[in-house]
Amino acid sequence: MTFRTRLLVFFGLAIAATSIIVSYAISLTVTRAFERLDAQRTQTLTAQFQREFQWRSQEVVRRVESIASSDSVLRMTSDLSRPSSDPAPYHDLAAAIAREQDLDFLEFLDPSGAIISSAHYPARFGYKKDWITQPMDWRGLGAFVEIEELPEESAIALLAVRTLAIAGSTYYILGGQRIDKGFLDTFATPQGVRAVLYRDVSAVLGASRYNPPEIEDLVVRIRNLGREASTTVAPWFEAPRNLHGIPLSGRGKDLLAVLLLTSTRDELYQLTWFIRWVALLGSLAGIALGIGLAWWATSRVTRPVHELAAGAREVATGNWSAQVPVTSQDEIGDLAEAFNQMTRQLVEQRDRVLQVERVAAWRELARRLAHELKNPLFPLQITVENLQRARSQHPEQFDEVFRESTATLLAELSQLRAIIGRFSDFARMPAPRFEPLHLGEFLPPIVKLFEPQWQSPEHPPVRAEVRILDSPLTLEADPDQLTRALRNLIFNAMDAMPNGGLISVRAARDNGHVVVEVADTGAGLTPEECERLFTPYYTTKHHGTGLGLAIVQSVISDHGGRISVSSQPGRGTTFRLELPEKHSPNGPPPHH
Amino acid sequence: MRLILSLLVAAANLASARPRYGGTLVIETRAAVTALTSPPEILWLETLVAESGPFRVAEFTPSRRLLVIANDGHAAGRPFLDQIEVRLNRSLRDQLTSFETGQADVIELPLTEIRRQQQRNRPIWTSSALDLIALSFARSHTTTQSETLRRAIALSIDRQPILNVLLQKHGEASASLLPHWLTGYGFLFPAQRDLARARTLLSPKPAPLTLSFDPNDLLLRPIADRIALNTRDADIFLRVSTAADADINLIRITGAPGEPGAALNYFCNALSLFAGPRKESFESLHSAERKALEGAWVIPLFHIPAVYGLSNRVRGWAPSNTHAWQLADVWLESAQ
Repeated sequence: MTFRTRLLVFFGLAIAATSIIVSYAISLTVTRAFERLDAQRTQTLTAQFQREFQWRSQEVVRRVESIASSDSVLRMTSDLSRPSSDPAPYHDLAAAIAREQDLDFLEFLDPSGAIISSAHYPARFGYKKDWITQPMDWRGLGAFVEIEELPEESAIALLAVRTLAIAGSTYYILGGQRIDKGFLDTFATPQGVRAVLYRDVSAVLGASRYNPPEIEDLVVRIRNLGREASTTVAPWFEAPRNLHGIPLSGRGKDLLAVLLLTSTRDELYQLTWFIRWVALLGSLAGIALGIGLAWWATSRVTRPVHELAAGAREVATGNWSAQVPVTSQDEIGDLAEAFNQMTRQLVEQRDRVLQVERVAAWRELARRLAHELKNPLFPLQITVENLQRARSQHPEQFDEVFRESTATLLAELSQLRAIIGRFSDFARMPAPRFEPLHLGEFLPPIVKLFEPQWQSPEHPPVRAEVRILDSPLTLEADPDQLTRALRNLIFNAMDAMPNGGLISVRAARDNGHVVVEVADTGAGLTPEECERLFTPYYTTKHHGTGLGLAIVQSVISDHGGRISVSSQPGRGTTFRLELPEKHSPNGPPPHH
Repeated sequence: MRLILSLLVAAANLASARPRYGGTLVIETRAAVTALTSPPEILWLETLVAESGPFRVAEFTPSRRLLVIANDGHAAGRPFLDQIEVRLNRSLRDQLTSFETGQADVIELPLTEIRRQQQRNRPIWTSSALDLIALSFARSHTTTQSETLRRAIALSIDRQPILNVLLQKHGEASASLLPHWLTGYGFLFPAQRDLARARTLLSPKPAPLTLSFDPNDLLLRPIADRIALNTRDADIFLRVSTAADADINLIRITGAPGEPGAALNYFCNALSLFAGPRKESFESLHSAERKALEGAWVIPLFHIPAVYGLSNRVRGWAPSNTHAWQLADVWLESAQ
């Protein structure tokens, strides 16, 4: 990841995170405000329900009392209190009176608790309600919640019981109203709030059927607490709902039903979603803006860095005079200025080094040339002096001396010419002419050329081996120049083994290159010698010109390859030539 | 003077007791008679449409109206009434309304109305308890195929409170097709509730069943509710409805003849029961009835009388245990 990309990602994430944090904070604040409002609204509704419930209770009690004191009920109880009385004629009485009093439930029960007449379940005549005969202060109890059986179902009822004592027997009048949707609809609930009677309490507590888990939890909590409780239901992708449960307990304080006040948080839900959308869009816009700003900023920051990197690459490719523009006065500007100063110093130092090296080379050349020329010149001088001496002192021997001297002069002149020829050859290395070479055929004759010399009695014993590790192994090269380079290396190897030894020539393919190694088992070289080995006119031999390895390096370089040396004193030296298999006219310059 | 006044009162009483000719008697019934050629569903109607009877059919609209007029050439003499209008297919509620507003002279009364009508000094005609109320199981339903279930339902019903309260003690609780008063062997068909045995018969607990009744019969709804309540005590749940395709039907069969053999045939035909051949003896009748009730596809519950309310102007209504009314002898007090 580039520096610019990192900067872009950082800016984008920073802006997005800021947007999310801000939107979350707003959502949280709004949610808490709505929760406070909800709590107040629920509290008001609960108080309203309790007032209404109390009023209804009083109304039920009033109506039941009115029925208990009515003439028809008094007549009935008086009639039934007589021996052998028949309750059958009163079977429909409860229904008629319930209609008059607008009661959903009305029953008349005899002293044993058997139903004489039932308005809401006429078929139950004769069945007993045992709980009604238990001692109880019905008047003090007022209205209470009870589950009443109906022909097809059971219903939650708000009931009141009054008693009539006739001739020592107590008759019961039970009446009430049904707590159902109609009952709840009379409450003035604000918009978005619904009152629901949750009757499936026994199923929840018995876990006998599926119920929404939130409601089950709420009902269990209400039962355990014995008072109101609230919870929030938040289905996915729906507005959350507040559930406030008010327990409806029976005579024995057992939980019979729960009045659920449900209020939707639709407004909050929509507002929250609006905030989230705004936050999302703001984040996206912020990210886009951040990317733009970051792009602009990073361009300003990274452009000098890029220019520095480009300048460094130029330096790496050899353009030591590369300069970068200094566009600012900050650290980046200082860095650019330092870079420019560095390249200027590099160029200056390179020029100085070149000059020093050139002078040194000329000195070395002059020393070597003087040394090379001094050797033949001394015999020439001696020969000429012999000729002069013979002509003046021994004229009779002059011819013989002349003949011998001229031969010597010619030999020394030939030696001089050879010396000059070697210098001349180094000065003018021709461009290589590339052609395919099969190393399996090319290398052995080069080595074989030296065999007669190695096999002569006056020469120390030298063995040679040629190994082609990959076959076929070919490369494109100038055969003459490569032959010349290899011969120089073999010459060096021979010189390195004055007491004989083994010369190994190995060739192999290595990652698109052909590697040729020439190794000897001679005395080896010191690291310092290895460093200077390819410097022109540098030699470790007394009779060398110092041009052999320079020529080898020149040839290998012209072929786009490279040469290296590894040596350990006392264990021999290995020259390694790496040459491209295929010649590429525009290939990368050889690296040394 | 006192003698003269006494003679005048006696003469007036004699004049009011003397039958008068003329007038139209209006009868309303639930029966929906669709054709006069088919056997009439109720016996008294048969006497009206008989060709050689005291009345001749003047107009007939199936399931709506039958108008008969006096047959002047009747062998037994002209009937007192000029005509009789029979309004067909009238619900009990509509009949009561017509009766209360003086638009009908003879109507069918639910048993629960007897006491009220008696309190108002309205004359009532009650037949012998020949109408049968019974439960009939649908034979094609998979839910009713268990005989033990059917027997458990029969055992779970407490007939006596229903008779005492809902039927106001009119009729008799019965577990036989024919009433005990007619055959004398009704006690051989036990009608007592045995809840414990009903519960032992039920294993496993049966699925809920539906119990339907004729919604036009005001008597049947409370009986059906009570039966459902009774069976619930035995863990048998019956859902009361008026759906046509119910598992169990609470039915009331009216118009049975007073002769035991004919009555058994009548009930067997109405309930699609097979009684088999029999001889003219009560032993044979008992065997036939027991055979008809095999499998407990039908559970007889009650035999109740048919009750008719008569308006105060109806005179000459001869007492009869059956529906074979002598309408030729009936006359209207206010007829001119």
